[in-house]
Amino acid sequence: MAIIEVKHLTKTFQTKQKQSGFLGSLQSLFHPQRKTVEAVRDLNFTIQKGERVAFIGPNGAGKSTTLKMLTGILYPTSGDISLLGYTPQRDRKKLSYELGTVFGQKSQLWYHLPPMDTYDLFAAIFDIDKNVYAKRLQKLIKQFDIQDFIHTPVRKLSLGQRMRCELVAALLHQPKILLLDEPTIGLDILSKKALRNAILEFNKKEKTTILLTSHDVDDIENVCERIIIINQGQLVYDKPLDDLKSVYLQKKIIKLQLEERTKKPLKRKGIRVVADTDLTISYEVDTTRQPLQDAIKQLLSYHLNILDITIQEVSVEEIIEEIYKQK
Amino acid sequence: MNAYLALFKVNLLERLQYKWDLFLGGFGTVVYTFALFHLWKAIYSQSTIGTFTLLALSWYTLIGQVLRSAGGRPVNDISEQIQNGTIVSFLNKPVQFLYLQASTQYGKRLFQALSGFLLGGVMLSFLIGFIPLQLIHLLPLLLIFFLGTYINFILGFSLATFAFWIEDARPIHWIYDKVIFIFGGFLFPLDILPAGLQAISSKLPMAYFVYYPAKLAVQFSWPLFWQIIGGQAIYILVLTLLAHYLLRRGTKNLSVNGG
Repeated sequence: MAIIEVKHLTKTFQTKQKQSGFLGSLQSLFHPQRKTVEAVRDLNFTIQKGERVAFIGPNGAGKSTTLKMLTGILYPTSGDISLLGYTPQRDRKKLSYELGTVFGQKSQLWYHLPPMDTYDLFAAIFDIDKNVYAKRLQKLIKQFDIQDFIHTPVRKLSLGQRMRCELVAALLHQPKILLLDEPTIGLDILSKKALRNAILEFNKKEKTTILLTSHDVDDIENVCERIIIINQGQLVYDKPLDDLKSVYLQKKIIKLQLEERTKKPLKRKGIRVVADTDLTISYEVDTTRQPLQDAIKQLLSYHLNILDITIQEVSVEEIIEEIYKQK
Repeated sequence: MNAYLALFKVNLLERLQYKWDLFLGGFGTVVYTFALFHLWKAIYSQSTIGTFTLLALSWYTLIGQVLRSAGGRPVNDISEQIQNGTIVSFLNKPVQFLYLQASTQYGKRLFQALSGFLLGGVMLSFLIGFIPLQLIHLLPLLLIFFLGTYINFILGFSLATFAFWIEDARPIHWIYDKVIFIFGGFLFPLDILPAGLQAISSKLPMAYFVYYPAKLAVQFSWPLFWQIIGGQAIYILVLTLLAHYLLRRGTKNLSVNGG
């Protein structure tokens, strides 16, 4: 059963345009110029219960705008949204009981107070029974390993600690859907790993549906099973992560380290240069057009002064970059 | 109701993190009252203002200042929340945004208003004498104060909703602040104004959260109490409906871009 349904969603808004300098400011004061921006264009997708979906795209692609429309905070220009049968803009209050949100760049914890005070507040706001709240909080404290700093003012926490506390705040009312907007932004490797593990564990235990936006490919690879890519407000890709890999794994990267540079890079069917810096050349081989064995043979016979050779798979990051470029 | 009490509490707790801020906020009230006390003293050496004695006018000044600060400045907070996008964290909770802001403002301002009243009260008691108030009138007076600060809040909130259209409503609030200064009876009681202006000013909502409550505190009478409470009830009803309407229209216009 689809838990999130988005049909023909479009959002346009007006932005002020202003020339630089004093004259520009004066001009903008008397003759303000506005530009219409189509942040989201005819977007369609559905998400099933318990799915972990990466919702990605380059900066300004419309990810956060879409997420805010899903929460009911922003109003769509046209199109329909349904979350658990609710229309977010009409049923925002009812939906908020079923929805947890983390906006990585906007904290919902009270900055000068310990996280515990925010949790007590949220328990009151979501009208959680005292005993249920106490049990649930203990469980979340263990799951996200935050017991050491739950009584420390938020301003004194590291970013990684704060983000784990943010997630606990978002999960306290046991939402059925969790919207995560760049939850690992600015975190170090260990904190990212801890946060991803905690999200995965929570999804497994509680069957919470997760929609995650991130610019970090590791978040996508480690947390999500499906990937939705949007660019310039439009859907450009929507498939399981494994499908994405299997299609693009047919491409290999052959990196050559040369002793000296005597020739231009090789040009052949199914072989293209992806990086060329002084004594290092990286070729991408499309194995559906040129068998890998043949490509290696051709490269070895063309470049006679090879010092080292490495063969790699195309990373998910490169695949996504490729998709962004194609569309 | 539980949610709003919890919001009030958490904001109160947060303000307690700034002990110096609380003290300095109260100290600002003392300085203002001290300066005006000397102005009134100089004026009273030659004439009087309305039916006020110097003692009553001095306490009127202090109470007016405390009441004005107690309703908070929602316009600053809401404009800032819209500009930096943090408003999303407030709008996606199962509470009314209007009352969420009211609880927040009361929580933020209560200690500052109390410290201002206590410090200013001690100063005035030494300078001119104790407030001319009977203990029996304290409860009805507190009710009038509470309703008055709510009118102050709801007016500020209604102006703050303009931030949904223009992102920063602070310039509008600046003008409004000056209106309260003169026509709300903040700088001096409305009795000092020419008859025509006085008649208009005394009907404005601002008079119901500065002039009338402060006057009642120093010249308590039951007819005045009922007159104030009637006016406050009408303004609360009208302004709350207006605030809900503006909020509904405003949130449809909200644009928070980026993560």
